[in-house]
Amino acid sequence: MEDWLLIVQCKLGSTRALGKIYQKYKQDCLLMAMALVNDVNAAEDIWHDVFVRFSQTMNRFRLKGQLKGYLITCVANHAKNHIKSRKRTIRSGTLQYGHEYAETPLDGLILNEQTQHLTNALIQLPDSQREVILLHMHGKMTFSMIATELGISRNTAKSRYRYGLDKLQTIFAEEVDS
Amino acid sequence: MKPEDYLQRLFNQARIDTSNETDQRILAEAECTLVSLKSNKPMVGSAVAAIVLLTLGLVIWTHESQQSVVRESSQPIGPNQILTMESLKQAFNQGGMEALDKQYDMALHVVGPRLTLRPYNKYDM
Repeated sequence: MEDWLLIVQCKLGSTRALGKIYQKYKQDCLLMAMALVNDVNAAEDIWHDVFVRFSQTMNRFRLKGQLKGYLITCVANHAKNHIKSRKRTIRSGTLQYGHEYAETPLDGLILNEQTQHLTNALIQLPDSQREVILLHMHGKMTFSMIATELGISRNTAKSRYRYGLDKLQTIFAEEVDS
Repeated sequence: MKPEDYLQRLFNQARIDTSNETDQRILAEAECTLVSLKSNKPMVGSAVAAIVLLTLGLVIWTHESQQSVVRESSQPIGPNQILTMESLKQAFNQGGMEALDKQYDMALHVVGPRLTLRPYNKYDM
């Protein structure tokens, strides 16, 4: 209900309502972006693109479900495009892939220890498994919704989720042993 | 602890903070877009309002025109109008000879009998 009211206010031109939406979902969307691309600058760019695009399409936007789910899905799609373009760049040999973390507030994003631990673990999963785990656990989307969004069957979504969790269990066990 | 539970705990505790500059930069661009969208809306609203007013005006004008025709048709017809060629023609078209006779009777009733001639008899022709 609150999201619906905020959307209506935004449609009427309320920048205050737009600011409220930004503050409300900034954490979730940034975490989603960071967990998918594991790149501070890229995560910030993705969130920037998604939110500006959201305001651009405000006139024809229709809230059908949860606004959080919508924004997180947008972030996931943008992140996928970013990963694809980055892989093309890596294959071309023009970019070295690496982990980048913000060290000072001036770098834009500040990650706490849990975020770094989480993104470190998730980045070791295949893209498809990582995406399903994030959409289900962080985006609170059901497997049916994930299947519809990704264009796969529900069983495929559940399988990717299970395989991803098994892999994470191994990763966490290795970290404990080390 | 299950990996699912451990992962969920990490999600709950994970935090990413943004600098004020980052927030202001993103918000400024988004707000600018929103304001520009809204500034285009009054044009559309004005156009719609103009069309609505024009339509209402046409409906009212048409209605009043019809009313004036009704008023004109309900006004009493003077003797000169009774006997004009057009009125006689209309009377004949509407009701034939009987209507024409009635038209003559009405005119005679208004104008009065002829002074020099014998009383009018509608069968005299």
